[in-house]
Amino acid sequence: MNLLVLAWKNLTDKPSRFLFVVLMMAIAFSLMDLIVLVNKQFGDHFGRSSEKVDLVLGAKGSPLQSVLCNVMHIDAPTGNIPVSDIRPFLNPKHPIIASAIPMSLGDSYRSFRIVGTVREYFDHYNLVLAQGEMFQSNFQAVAGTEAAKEAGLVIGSEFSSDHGLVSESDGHTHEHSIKLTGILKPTGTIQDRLIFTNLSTYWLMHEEQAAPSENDTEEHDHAEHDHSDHDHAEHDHAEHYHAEHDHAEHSGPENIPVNTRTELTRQNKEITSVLLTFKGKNIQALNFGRQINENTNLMAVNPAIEINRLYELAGSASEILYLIGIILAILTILALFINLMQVLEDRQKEIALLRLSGANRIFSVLLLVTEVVYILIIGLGLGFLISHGFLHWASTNLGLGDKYEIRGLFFCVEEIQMAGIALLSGLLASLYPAWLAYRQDISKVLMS
Amino acid sequence: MILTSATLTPSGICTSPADLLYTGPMLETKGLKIRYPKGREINFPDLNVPSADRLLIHGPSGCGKTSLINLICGLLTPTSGSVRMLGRDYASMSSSERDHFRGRHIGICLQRPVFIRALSALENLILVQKLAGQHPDAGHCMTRLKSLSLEHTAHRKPHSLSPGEQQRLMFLRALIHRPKLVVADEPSSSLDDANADAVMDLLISQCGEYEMTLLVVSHDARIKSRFNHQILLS
Repeated sequence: MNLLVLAWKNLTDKPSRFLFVVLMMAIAFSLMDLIVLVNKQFGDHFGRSSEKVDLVLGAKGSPLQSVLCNVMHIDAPTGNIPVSDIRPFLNPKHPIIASAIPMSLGDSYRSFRIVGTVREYFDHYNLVLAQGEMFQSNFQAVAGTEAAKEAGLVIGSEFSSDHGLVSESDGHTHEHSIKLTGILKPTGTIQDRLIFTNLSTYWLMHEEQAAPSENDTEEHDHAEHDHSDHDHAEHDHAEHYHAEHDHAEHSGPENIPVNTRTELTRQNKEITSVLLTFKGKNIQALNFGRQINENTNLMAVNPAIEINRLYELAGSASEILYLIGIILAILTILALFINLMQVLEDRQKEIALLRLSGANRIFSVLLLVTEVVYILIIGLGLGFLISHGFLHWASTNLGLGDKYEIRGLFFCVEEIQMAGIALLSGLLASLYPAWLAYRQDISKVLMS
Repeated sequence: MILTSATLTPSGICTSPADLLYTGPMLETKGLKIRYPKGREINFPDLNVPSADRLLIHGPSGCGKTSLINLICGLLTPTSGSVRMLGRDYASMSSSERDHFRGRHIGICLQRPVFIRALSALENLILVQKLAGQHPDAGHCMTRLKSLSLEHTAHRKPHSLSPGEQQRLMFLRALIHRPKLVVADEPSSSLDDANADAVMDLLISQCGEYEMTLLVVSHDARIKSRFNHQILLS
């Protein structure tokens, strides 16, 4: 019968009181832990995704939407831009631009977004093939590891992409199938959940859809097209290439695979966006976006600024939740303190009995503190399980893992620090009751 | 016999060489006086209790009987005077040493039974052995429980026992570590004649069996005849 066993038996002797304090502690801690974990993972995800891009060039529209779509891959495109407008930025000898990566977006396969891009994209994001080879010709693709796994794609698989960003969102499925030639190594970023092909595949797929046969041409006249049967919430019509492309161009040269940005400069098509990185952070680079916005039909957006704006929008909600968590934590510590005072009151005679039997004052104090440590460890442990378990569930069932890389099995220093503060606060709450236990005059207790 | 700083007796009880060699009075008090904060002062007669003796301290309520127990057990510090047990002066011991000494050498029966409510009857006994610095001996505890017809209570919580069972268990707890001195505070006062007799029989027989010194503090006149040494407090 040692101190640890005695403390545990004391606690479990009154299970309802014990459970009340432990559950309060667990709920308060899990709420604060959830906020910390979500903020941290959200921030990491957005930081990782946006740090590699200095400027996004796209069609005029919502700047935040442009960043969310082109960098985070969680929103619809703002529209298309002609290659002729971006040609100067594709010049490898540009004095400010270090890299320019064109992208075409708007299609998906089983909800995994298909990105039409160039080889430079893979170098830029350090994407390396785990198996197979990079696409060489049109209608070939490589997939991120999670996209391949969850969509059931293996090397050699052929699939038809859906028009729109959600599977079968508008009922259009491209007729020409795409063959998977490679699967990328996992990176822990959104790129794991994308499928990549070249730009010309994107154009060809949409040209097929726009003009499948001479007879269909009339039906596909976009001026008369009835848009009411489309789900406008899920995909923006501006993203449809067949909405603006010139049908007369589709004969011959566009069948040449466009795998690099140099090859793109020879085309006269449309793409969704260009991701730019600068050679340096000088004043020219800083003013570059403003100049584009003022002097061209393009919209230039700095992802860092837009992400900060997003944080500001979401920040106040997160602060309110955090405040609720802190209030709950203070109430919990108060409940613990009151519980300890009650324990002390109830156990006056027992403490006196222990002293009569030979236990010294320190033993009485240690007994009380050990009980507090049990409550804290179990409460915090349960809080950890609740927060991580909930995130794991939300990651899988609410799609937080797919969209924001939020995982249940993510641990950070901040939550350990928070647990340390909670542990210290709990011990501080036990100081006064412990002092009373130390000072207890057992002769008075026994006489009463 | 070569004695080290702590030795196990044949019965398994840990004791110090000094305790084994000690041949003087078990308990000795001189000039004990206590003054309460409100100014009341009590002077106690000197005691000299030999080993294995039975002593009754009696007197009316409020005469200081419980205060004397507290002084003898080292729970109260006297305003003046000294308490020596087994030749050791309490004044020379630190608070922690006094706690340890009390746990080892004194068994106390309180007026009303008090137990650690989270522990079973058996665990309560084992805890006393442990706090007395002895090796926990569940077998010995079970034997003693059986000797008082309490074996069926071994794994039950004390608060679920009948008042009679609780009282017997309390006596057993005071005796389980075979202390040199057993102090009982009003053991029979709240009982009817038959039960008062039974309780006193039990206490006296158990202390006699293990040669423990018994010191009973009571205002119950019914038990006077059982003690050859008596001190009246007034």
